[in-house]
Amino acid sequence: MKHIFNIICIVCLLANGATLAGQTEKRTVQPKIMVLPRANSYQDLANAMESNPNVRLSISLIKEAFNKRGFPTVDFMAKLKNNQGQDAMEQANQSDYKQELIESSGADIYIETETIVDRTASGNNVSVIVSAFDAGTSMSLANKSFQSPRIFTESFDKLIQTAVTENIDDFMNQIQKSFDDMVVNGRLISMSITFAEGSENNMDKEFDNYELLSDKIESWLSKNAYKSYYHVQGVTATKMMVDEIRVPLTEEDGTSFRTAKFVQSFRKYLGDLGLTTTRDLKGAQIFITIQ
Amino acid sequence: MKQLIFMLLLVQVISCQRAKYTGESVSTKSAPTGSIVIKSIGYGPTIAAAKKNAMENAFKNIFTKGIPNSNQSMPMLSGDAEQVLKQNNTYFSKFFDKGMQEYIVSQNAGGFDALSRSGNISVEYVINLASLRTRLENDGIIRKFGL
Repeated sequence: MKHIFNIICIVCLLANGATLAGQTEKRTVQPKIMVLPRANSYQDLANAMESNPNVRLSISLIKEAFNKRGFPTVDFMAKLKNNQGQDAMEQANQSDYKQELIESSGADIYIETETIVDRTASGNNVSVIVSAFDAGTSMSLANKSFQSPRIFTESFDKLIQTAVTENIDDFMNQIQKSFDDMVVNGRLISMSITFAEGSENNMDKEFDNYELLSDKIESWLSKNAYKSYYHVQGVTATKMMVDEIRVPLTEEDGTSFRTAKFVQSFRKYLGDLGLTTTRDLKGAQIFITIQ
Repeated sequence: MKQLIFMLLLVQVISCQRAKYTGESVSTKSAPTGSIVIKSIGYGPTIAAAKKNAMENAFKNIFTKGIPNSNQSMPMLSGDAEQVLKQNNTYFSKFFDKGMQEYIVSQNAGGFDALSRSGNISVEYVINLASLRTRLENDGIIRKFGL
């Protein structure tokens, strides 16, 4: 009797174990999202937010939809106020301000919105144009135009609400599709390789078997890019621009992929070829300078 | 005798209208966030069978094709949606058998026409997409939103 009881217990434990193993959840990283109006300079951004309630409402509704799906959003207005008076705002070239703001916000994805009110004799309507971008690479993830019905009303807030709430799910599905693609094919980074002034090296430096430095670099990329996917935009004697390198989202041990580690590995390879290098990292952009 | 033959023929015609998978699911009107309103056509020899087929078609189209001009214009299953459906055959068989009714917020069926070749019944459903998506996420069929 005891044996039967023991066997039943073991079977139950194994069955539960199998169920739990089957239910092991795949970890998903929830990127931070910032929703901002479409504008370039600080002044345009501030004006769009402060003087246009329609823009504020569109942004608020989009943020709300993401929050409802359990997504963290970065408050654009708070970031804008936080950056007021800081160096970013004081730059002579204010068109870079948006990029500075995105980089300093810690957002992984930013969504640009544009709210257009159209008044005609046959009624009024509102279009909310939204575009989602990867903050690191500025790669477009999703685009959609939310349209409200055209009716005789001056309640533009209602039109915006209808346009956003009826279309936001589909927009989020588009973003998710881009995420799914990244999980399968990796995400993109870019690398620019140049030479320091007065350097005796160049891309045409020959190694064994007539192999040039540019060939050596391409061989390394082929071995180290995710699924060997990379694209060389151009090579000259003094510069090599690799505009697309796919890298995995996670390391083999499950931790997040670190671009710095990828750069370290590349620099070690160049070091083994007898080349001294320095590097700069800006989001998903890598700048390598060979001495 | 003639009546008997006629009856047999009628039974034969009706039984030909078997449940089948078609893409006859259209978005009929706009729906609030998290839901969809679709009209779906169903085939079957009885009202119950045709209604079940209409509902199954609606969900299959949401999963594998998406419903144009709606809040779910892309397939809910990511990647090769048809393949995902096949790979999780047991899960979806169970879902179509019992689970799908839980996500119907309301339904409005038209008249049943046993002899119609263009569908035996047309049903308008309001489906709770948000909770359907959450269930598929929790069951590991689709990835949670994010990377």
